[in-house]
Amino acid sequence: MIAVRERSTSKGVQRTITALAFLLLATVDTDAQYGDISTGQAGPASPGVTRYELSIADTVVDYSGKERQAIAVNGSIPMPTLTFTEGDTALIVVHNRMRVETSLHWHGLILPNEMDGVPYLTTAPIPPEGTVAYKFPLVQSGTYWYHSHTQLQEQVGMYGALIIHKRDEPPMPEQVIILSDWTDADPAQVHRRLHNANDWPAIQKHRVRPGSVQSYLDAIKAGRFGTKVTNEWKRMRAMDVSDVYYERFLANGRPEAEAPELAAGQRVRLRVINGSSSTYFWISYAGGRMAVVASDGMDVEPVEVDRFIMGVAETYDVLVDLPADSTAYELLATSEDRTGSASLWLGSGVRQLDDPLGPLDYFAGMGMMNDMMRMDGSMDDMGMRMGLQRMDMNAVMYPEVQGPPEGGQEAQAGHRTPDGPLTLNYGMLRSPVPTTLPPGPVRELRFELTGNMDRYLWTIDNKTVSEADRILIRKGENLRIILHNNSMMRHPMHLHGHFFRVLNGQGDHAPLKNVLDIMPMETDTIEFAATEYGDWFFHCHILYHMMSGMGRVFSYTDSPPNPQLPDAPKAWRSFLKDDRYTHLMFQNDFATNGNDGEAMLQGKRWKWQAEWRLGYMAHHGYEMETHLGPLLGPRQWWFPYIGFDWRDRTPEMGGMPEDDLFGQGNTKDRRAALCLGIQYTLPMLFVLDARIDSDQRVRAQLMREDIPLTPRARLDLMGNSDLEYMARVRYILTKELALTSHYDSDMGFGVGLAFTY
Amino acid sequence: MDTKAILLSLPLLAFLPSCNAQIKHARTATVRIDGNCGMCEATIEKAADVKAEAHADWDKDTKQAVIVLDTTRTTLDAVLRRIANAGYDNERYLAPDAAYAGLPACCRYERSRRAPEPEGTPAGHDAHGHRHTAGTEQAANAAPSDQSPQQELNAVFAAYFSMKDALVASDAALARQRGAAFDEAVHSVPMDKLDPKLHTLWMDVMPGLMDPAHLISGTTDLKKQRDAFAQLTTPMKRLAQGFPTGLTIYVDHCPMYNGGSDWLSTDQAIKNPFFGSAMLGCGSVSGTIEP
Repeated sequence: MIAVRERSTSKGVQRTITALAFLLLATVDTDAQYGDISTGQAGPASPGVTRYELSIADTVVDYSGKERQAIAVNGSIPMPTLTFTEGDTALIVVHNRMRVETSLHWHGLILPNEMDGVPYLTTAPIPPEGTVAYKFPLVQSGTYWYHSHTQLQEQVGMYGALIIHKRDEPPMPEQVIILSDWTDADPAQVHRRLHNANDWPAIQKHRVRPGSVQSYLDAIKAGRFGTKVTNEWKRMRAMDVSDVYYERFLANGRPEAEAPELAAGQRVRLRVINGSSSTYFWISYAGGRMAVVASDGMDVEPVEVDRFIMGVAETYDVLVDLPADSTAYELLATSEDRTGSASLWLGSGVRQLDDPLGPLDYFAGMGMMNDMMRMDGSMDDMGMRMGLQRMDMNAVMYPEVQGPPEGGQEAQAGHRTPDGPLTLNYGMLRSPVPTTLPPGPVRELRFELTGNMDRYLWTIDNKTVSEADRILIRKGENLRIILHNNSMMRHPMHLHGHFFRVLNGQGDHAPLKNVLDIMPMETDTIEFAATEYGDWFFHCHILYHMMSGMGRVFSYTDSPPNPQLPDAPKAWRSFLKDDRYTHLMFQNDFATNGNDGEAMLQGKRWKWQAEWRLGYMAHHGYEMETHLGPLLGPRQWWFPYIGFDWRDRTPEMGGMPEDDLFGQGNTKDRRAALCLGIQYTLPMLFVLDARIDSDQRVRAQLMREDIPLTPRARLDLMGNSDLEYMARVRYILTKELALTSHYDSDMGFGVGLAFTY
Repeated sequence: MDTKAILLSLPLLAFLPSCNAQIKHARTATVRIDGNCGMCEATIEKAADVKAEAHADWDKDTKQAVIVLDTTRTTLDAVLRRIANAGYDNERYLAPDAAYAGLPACCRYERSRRAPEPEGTPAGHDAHGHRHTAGTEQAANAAPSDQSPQQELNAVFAAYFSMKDALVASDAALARQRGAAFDEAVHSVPMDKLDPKLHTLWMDVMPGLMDPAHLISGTTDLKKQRDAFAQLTTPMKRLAQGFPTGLTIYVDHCPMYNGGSDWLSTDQAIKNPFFGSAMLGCGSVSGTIEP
């Protein structure tokens, strides 16, 4: 980290600066105003101003034995830790040395709207080769972070810690830990594959944690065949605690980070930041309990726990002790899906390991989810008022696999309190000072968090950011938001530019946070005072959920024009582009009896699909079918379409004329027909397809794809009223390739190699 | 620290060229690993062995392990970490507490490698081997008073909390045993020696304590024990409000048990005695009784 830092603490001047701090963000003339940036030399010192120079550039990294593209700032991943003092002014000069635009968002900071760094919403993006300066007063203290808010850049390195010390803070040893996740796959491809319900990540997880695919074979082995059938009956494919497979989990950019300078007997303040893109981490410590003293930058009354979970983008400050000399104690951050962990070693010497967390019992969670899922795909909390993480969903939904009790009762009692580790929940957070809102009119809003796992469509009230209007709010009113999670995954909901109170039963001392983790079926209430101006983003901080559209914009009425975005309508359209994606999928089976494939292009609410079967022999025929239409219903189980069906086949000599199930004869030999039809996803994930074509022939078809027989084997089945049928088994070799074996009523038996994009 | 530095820093380590048949690029290291017996030997070697990567041979008399590993595929550090995770302290890693505690009794070697914790540091061990950074979870029987009748009342609280812990652990046999201790504690309060105000209070709440106590000590049916335990909350709460226990007592509320039930705890964190591990963290603090 080579950031240049310069600070002066002349208080009189500092007040003036703060008073003057109407922050301008401008393209900076580096030579004249800020000194020679290319050499990293700071410009003229301004009292009370802490200045950093950040240079963003493409880089190549190797975390797992493979070289990959990434983004480094000042040559470092994570980005440099920025340290400030409350009351000072931050001046951060950013140079974009990349060929694409970028942005920096100061997560958790209370600042003027145009400094918030959400491209096209609050701030102009930083253009390629551009230099901009962010300048704002620091009106708070605590543990925060900063990251790119452009596309998926956060996943490849653009995250860093931002610490603001209190002015009168008594000195104590402290250590910043920023956690992150690393995937060797290109994040854009990760995102595309998520939208195609590709289960390759589960297969990758299976290599580390057997059972992750939750195939029928896994179910039978676990004695849970019935559970798996019920799960598919309710039209679910698998229970995922996270969607993406990560090769590495990192603490300060390394699988294992060290803080050897810390000595025994010291009490250390750990500033833990979850800077990952989509990973929840369990935090535990080998040197005893941790006293949680702050969350999302705001102090809370100390509470001691054995472990706590960190939602994506949350920060926690904890106090820990180093009990003995010549020992390094492990602070262990384990991914929620238990596929990996990162460690920080506190102190030096022989290394005291922390208790590793065991694998999850997915089928127990599946059984629980079956009970709570209604047939229409919505969730039933069975009358339990769930909220504030109080029911430990990891213990309930995904209990750890219980090993055989080794060493008997005595040993079991020996290492733990009889009731297991003490886990933090939001109900235990209490602000040391009253946090009641200033008097003002109260407006209540209800948000239902919704999602469609198969199509990876994440929404609020079934609408994405681009499908919903801005939520207009007025300065001076108090907003109370009741959030209910009716999706199958947990969501860390983040509000920009404001702290909200989490109504957790602590009355006037409700804690202040800016990220709220909400688990499936939970209902939580938050409230905040509208004290700012401009547009503020409220979104799920799982990067791929946000990019799929899970968010809303709070927009203050009567805000001044934003100088950053002179053409406001155009900027708004650019901002909405993020979730207006289309994703392409392509698959072809190169088999001994022909080519068999499909392509699909889909947006949030529509899809176009094409299927083909191209035989090598004229009597096998050539056929192609294409459909285009909207996806309807909250779970998008309905797909009405218009399409076209074309076939050409030379019948074999002596072949009998064929008929269909409805006695309509058939046109399998020569067909060129427009068709109108509807597909509906049935229980057990069978797709029923009924259509009528321009020759006034009716066809009904039943199809099921991707039945997970074993972790890598998939079975596809199809039959229709033209008396065509097909069965295929695929054995997945890699992300792109699978061995196939199929029988088709037209083309007969074949084996092949399937390629999937 | 890179692998090489780790290896060089190990004092009893010597690398020798080796010609092990299964492991290519083989190097041999001799490392001391703490342990006791033949069973330890099996566990240590099983933890270390990965086909074509590493193999260990541990001697229970010398406590030395000869580890052969393919340095192109793994590191000694990784092998020693696996051994520690199986419960065995070594030069590089100390076993996690749970792994050590999970060893069979005959394998629990003396953990001499763990540096003694200096006196007077804020960290101390509790009965379960957890080091606490401060005293939020004080033992209930460490009450401040030295007067005998007071002590007897403190014993009632101590017995209540330990009974609660047994229910949190869903251990019916233990709950029965601790229920009997609670019953005993209730009967042992010398009511004639209590001061008049406390005497009145005690006479008031005692009947509400005796029946549930008797029930809990007379069954190993968890459901019945929990029903009876729920009945104890009201009298125990009244007692706590009228008697200086010297403890901060939290009144916790579970909305799901019998349409809503309370219990008392000295721990701010929720550990639900009505459902145990199934819904351990379910509930909320509804009130606090200050000492």
